[in-house]
Amino acid sequence: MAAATRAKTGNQVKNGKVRRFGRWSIVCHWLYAACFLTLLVTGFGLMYDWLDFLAGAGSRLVHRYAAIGLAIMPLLYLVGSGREALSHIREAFRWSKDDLRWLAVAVPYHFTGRPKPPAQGFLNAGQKLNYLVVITTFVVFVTTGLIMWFLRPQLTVADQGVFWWAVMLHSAAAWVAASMFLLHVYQAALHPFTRASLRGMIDGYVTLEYALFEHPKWAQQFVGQSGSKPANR
Amino acid sequence: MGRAAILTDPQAAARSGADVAMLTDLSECIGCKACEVACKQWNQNQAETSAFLGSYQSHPGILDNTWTVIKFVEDINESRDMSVESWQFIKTNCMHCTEAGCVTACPVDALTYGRMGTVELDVDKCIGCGYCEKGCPFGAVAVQAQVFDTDKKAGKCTLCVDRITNGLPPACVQTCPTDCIKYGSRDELIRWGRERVAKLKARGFANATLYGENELGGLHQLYVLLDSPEKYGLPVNPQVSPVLKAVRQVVYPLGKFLLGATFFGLLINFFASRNLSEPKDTDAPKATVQS
Amino acid sequence: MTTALWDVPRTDLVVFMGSNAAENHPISMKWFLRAKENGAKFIVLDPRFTRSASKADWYIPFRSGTDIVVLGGLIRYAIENNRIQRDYVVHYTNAPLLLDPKFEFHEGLFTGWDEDAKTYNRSTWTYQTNGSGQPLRDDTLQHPNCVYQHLRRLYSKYTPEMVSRVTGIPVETFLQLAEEVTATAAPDKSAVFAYAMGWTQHTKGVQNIRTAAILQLLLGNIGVPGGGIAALRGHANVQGATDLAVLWHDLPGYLGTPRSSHRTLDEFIERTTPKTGYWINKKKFMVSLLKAWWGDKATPENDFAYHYLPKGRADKHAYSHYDIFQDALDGVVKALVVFGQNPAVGSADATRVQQALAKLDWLVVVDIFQNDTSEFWKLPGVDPRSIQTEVFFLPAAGPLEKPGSFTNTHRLIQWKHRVIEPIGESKGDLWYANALALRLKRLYADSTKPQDEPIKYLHWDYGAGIDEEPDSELVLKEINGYEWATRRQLSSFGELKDDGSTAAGCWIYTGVYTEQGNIAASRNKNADDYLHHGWGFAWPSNRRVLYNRSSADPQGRPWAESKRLIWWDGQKWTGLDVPDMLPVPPDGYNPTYGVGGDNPFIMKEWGVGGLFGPLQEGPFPVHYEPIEAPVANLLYAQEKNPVARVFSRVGDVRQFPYVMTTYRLTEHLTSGIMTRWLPWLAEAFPEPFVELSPELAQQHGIRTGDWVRVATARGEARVKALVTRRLKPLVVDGRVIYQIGVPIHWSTRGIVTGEIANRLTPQFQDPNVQIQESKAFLATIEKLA
Ligand code: SF4
Ligand code: SF4
Repeated sequence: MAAATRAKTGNQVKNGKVRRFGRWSIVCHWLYAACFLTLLVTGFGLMYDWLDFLAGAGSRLVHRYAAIGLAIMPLLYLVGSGREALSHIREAFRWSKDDLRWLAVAVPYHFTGRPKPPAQGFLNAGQKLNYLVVITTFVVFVTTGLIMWFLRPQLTVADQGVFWWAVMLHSAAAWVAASMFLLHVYQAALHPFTRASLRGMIDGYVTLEYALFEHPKWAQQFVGQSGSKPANR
Repeated sequence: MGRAAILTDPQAAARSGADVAMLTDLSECIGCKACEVACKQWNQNQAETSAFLGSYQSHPGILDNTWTVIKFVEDINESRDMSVESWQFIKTNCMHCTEAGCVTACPVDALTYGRMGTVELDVDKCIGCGYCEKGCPFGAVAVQAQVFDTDKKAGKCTLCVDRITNGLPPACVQTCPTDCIKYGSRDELIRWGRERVAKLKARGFANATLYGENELGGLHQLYVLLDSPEKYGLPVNPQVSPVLKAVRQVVYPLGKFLLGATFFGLLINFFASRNLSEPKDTDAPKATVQS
Repeated sequence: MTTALWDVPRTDLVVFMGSNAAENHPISMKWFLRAKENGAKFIVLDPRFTRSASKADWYIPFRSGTDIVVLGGLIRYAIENNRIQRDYVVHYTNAPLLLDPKFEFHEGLFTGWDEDAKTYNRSTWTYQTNGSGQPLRDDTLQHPNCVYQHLRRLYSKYTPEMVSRVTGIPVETFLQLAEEVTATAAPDKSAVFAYAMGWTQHTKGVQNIRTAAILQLLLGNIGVPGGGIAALRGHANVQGATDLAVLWHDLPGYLGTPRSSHRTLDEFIERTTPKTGYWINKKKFMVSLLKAWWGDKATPENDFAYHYLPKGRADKHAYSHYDIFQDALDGVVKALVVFGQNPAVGSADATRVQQALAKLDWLVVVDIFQNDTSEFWKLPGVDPRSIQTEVFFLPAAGPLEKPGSFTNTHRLIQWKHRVIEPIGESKGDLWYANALALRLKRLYADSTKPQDEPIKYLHWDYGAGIDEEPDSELVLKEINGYEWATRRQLSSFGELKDDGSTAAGCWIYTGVYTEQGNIAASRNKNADDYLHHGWGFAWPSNRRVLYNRSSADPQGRPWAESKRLIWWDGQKWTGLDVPDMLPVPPDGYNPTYGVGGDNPFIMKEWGVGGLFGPLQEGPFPVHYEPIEAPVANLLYAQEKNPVARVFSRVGDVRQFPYVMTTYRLTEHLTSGIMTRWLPWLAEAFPEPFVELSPELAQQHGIRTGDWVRVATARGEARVKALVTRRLKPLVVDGRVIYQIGVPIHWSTRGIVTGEIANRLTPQFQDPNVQIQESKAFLATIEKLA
């Protein structure tokens, strides 16, 4: 746990803030987000009549370019962020009872502030879920997308089912990912409990207060460290 | 009496606007491809030279710019006398289904149920995604996809909707030298087709059949066949892919519901959580810090 | 063709032999299919299972080049089993006439064969006559010298077993075929035989057709509804080209051509015209023709300018297409003007043609596209540096860019209008002809030499000066004919005179442009008239079915209620068509013509159909093997047509073991100039190929799509393999014979290209019409890496 939580580059603590993400991870996150959003918008053009204006041969082209971007982004992330990336992914897959308990109370807690959920580590269960959804839908998007893009001409009338399975999974994944995306954005940007976290994806640092509030199991290591005194407000 | 190819006066058909159809009597098609050329000429579609296909066929199948293709099928039954082998010429084109897979598949409603029983393709709306190609049980609509294209569009037989609504028979009907492509009101063609099949049966073609009367809710391209549809590469009991139907009828609504529910859930949360406070150091779970 | 396509649906049996109408005459195919709809049986005999065969009730493969054996076998079967329409045969044909007792046939040769001169002395090929010149006859058909008995003896060798050995058709199959065909001997039954290049392109092409004509006459199937011989003409206007004699051996209207030995017009008429039948009017047609050509300069005093006509050299047999190129190779022909043709690709043994072109001083090509003839120096294997020929290319207008008439396969002349103006500098053929003629006339205007008179005095008035657009209707008016002095348009060739008072460019067309106007342009739709009188004009006399008097019995009554066409109503001949008969009652006789009321073939001597009919290789057709054949002639010691002409190298069966045939596809026209340059037709059939059976393919390890080399003694071509069960190996004389086929449409220029198949075909010619034997010759095949 200790190794995993130690950021690879830069100071861990700075001006009373603690480092959450490396610079490369942040770049990848936003690039992925951009691709995803582009794909979502161009894809949803096909699915919602009122988004018809987004559908078009041009947006199909954009969708294909963005798909390439999306497909290579995890690779860049893994190469560029190495250990950090691995440790995050590993953590996303490591589930404890606390995570489940956290999930069980997450909805009422985020509406009312109680009951208080169990303490969470570097990733809370919600974030872990986000990771998992991103990873699974990524795999689905890429495989089914490849089928729809490159295999379509080869598919005969008899194996049209293959194409439609691909479409089915692709679109199902889109809605799941879109829903998760909405939640993710809302949490990071709007919900009072977590909106402070957005900074972590901008300059890499979050306030110790926030870190201790949301990720106490991880943040406690910074308490008392030089320069980490909670700033007076 | 006009040409044997025209069963209903095209002017009258255009005025009435009722469903019309084409009926191709394959017992009289001589595989001359005049219909292919007439189709290209009327629609000003580009030629597309295919590699040698090992038969008399011009194109491997229907292409976005090749809307009718004669398929050449040699049917040789070794056990039979060599004099009764058959060589079939099958004029393929869009069937203008009543229940059309392509219409179901098209995500931008470029394909619609159109005038006089046709299935119309609005090329301006078409985005070239190729869903229709994969939704059609007959391989009758195509998009020539390339890795990065923006100008590729679907293409398919229009039943010459621009001609028939103006009182002209379709271009292929006009040109067929044997009059084996008939044009007229769908009811009239079905009547004619049934009679013709009865005649063929009497002449010894026990499996002769009229194809398209009930398939997919009724096709607007009918065929008189000398033998069972499989012999002509036509699907017996064609269906719109159940997976496609599931996509449109189950997955899309479910997905929209999921996203919608998420959205409204968050909206409600937005107001509900307005009074919750952001984490301050004092709010920090002390126990954790101290441990 | 003797009949009209509109009449074909009335038949009981359609036989395609040497025809692939579905592919090569698709418009005509409809009528054969209608016949099938009406219950007719449809049989296709062809070396290949074609698109026509796919529509037939019954397909019978046989060895290419053995048609006379099949048909001769059918004749034998009809005679031996008394399946002939006896009344028809006795009254309407020359079957009962007695031949010279010295006339006989032995081992493939008729009496009179001169081995040294390689030609026949025909003195015994005649009838026995009485003192007044009437032929002796035996209406019981028993006399050993009568034509019928000659036929019986001649074809007695053509037993079903022999047919099978030679052609590869199993005996059983042949017997079934014979049953079907000869069943139409019944008076209420008819059969139509359709043929095209499959019969003509042989060294015995004309005799192939003769054999069918004999069979049809024996069965009483000529001139009756649903009967006849359907000669399917390949291009829109091939019939017109023949009628107007774009040929070396005829003048317009089948008047023949004078030779240098025919010193005067009368001598020409005397030596080339039968003494009975309608042809006794030939001089009227001939004088009217000369009048049309030389007008006021054609007078009784100068023999109507007969001496202006070019005459064939006494020492020269033919001036055919292939002779022209042979003469070019020999340095005799020094210049060539080619209109709408591409011989460098379209003619047999194309390499020889290309070599001939290279010997010319100059060459003019008039075509709608630059083609392989106008650019022959660019062809593979040709070294441009060694060629001195100067080539002029003149751009021609396409069919829609000029008005004019087409004469289609059933002799129907239809006028067409110009649809668009010619593109760019292109001009119609008529424009070029006019410009050339007027320029030549100008050149010779001041000449006083007698040999220049034919040009100087040529009557040429089509309403246009040099470089102006001639009026094509004036051409049709002249073809139709008019009274010279008044310019009144004539309405029937009966009005033509031999005193110079009438002019007519082609007597059989008279009636096409009368005082009533352009009849070829008439478009009356009369639903009640199945022969569509009122639509266009069919020569002769707007008659749709030739010899239609024979649809009635000798007394003038229809042979059967279901086969009514023409009959004698007590006063006159009448019926559903324009009667093909002199105004003579059934029991009457017209002494001028020597034709009785029961003699329907009025163009023939004594008005009877010619079972006996002299041609270069004899008066009866007999089987000769193709010049290149895989087997010896099983019937006669004389293996090949003794008077066939052989210009090309002959291949040996040990080197070239397979029977090859060439053909056309629906998608392309001859050398492909009009189709391979048009994207929509080019894509319809992009690549050249060879069709071969799986059995043969297996021996060579060839699979569909492989490149293969097809070679003959003339040359080779690289094409794709199309392995198909539509070609069957045949058992001929106990041996397996493989046939292969290659279409002829490709060349090195065009949107789609390929090697030239006519480099394989031979210049072996039929002696009567000089057509090449491109349907049956020998080849070999090999897979290319
Ligand atoms: S045949 Fe295919 S393209 Fe035509 S309407 Fe039916 S589903 Fe659509
Ligand atoms: S034009 Fe008619 S006969 Fe020719 S290929 Fe087409 S359908 Fe068949």
